[in-house]
Amino acid sequence: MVIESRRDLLRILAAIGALPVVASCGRKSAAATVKFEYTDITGLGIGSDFRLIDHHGRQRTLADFRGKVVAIFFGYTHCPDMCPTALAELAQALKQLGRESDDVQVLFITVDPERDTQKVLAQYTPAFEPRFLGLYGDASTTSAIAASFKVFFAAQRPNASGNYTVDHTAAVYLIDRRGRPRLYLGGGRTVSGMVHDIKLLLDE
Amino acid sequence: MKAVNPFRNRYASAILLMVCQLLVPLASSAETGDAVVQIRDAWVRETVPGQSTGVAYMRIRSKESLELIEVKSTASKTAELHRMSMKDDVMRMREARAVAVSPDREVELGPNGTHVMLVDLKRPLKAGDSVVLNLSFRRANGGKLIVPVRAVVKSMAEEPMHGH
Repeated sequence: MVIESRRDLLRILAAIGALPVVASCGRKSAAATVKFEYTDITGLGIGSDFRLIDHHGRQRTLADFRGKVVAIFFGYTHCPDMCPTALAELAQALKQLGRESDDVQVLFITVDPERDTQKVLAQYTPAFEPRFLGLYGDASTTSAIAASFKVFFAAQRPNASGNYTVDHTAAVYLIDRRGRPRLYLGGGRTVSGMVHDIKLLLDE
Repeated sequence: MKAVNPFRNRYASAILLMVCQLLVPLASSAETGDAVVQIRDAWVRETVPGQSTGVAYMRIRSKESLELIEVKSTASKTAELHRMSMKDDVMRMREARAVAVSPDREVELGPNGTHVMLVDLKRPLKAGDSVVLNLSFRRANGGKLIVPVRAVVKSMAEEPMHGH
């Protein structure tokens, strides 16, 4: 909701020609608002630090990755299409970043901790890129983190064979080197677009 | 390399012959299916270790009104028909009871839409391999048509990840 209104506000400002005026008032800050390919969420209060277990069994907080640009994707390993695609695209983005990718950390946070155990995440996550980390927490921790990132998720009722799907927000969040949530990358994101925005954050 | 054991070889050809004999009725039913149903571009997305589900896509064309009601695969314990939707960046998947196929209108099972979900994969699916899917269709007259399809396993993303 908040994201939408901010995007809409920018669109309206651009439409009425207010953007050049704003730009001339404070060139640097206005340019900083529009240069990203994806939605700027700086200062909107989206996302916060968390405490989760990684696929090696180590406790992790967002603060552990200070100094790096962090890309977070919420998903689940039983998701056959969207999640592997998103992770494969992030792996490609890292590849395109070359040596700069040393300063990027990709985190896969499961919204299905019941099935996505440490063992499952340890097989799954590094298969896309050895440096990716899979993270999980208990149900209430997962809910709290998802809520702070405005990520919606809801497990569906299992069918006769016990299989169930989980509805979830399929977005990527970018956190800057100082640990601040900065960008929201929703549907329609591309590898080149992600590389573009990650580079901008790395260069700050 | 070691010389091939002739007995083992003979044993293998005997099994092959038995399999071929078993396949004959399947092949003839496939022919009936093929005459009515045409499947093209069938593919399955590559999976990684730890991923227990896979997804299959294809294009279906039929000369008569049919309903795709069931899919079985040798690669997984079960297979389900799923409808995926995206709204406000929220991905939702719901099981579909059937997919209607009307004459001369191609139905696409593709990314971001209806697809076949392979549940409980027996092993990870590797690009270049293939998977056999048996599609069961219900005909308007209540009869059943089974169409076997060979789906190619393709890489995770359009741009293949080199070195993996």
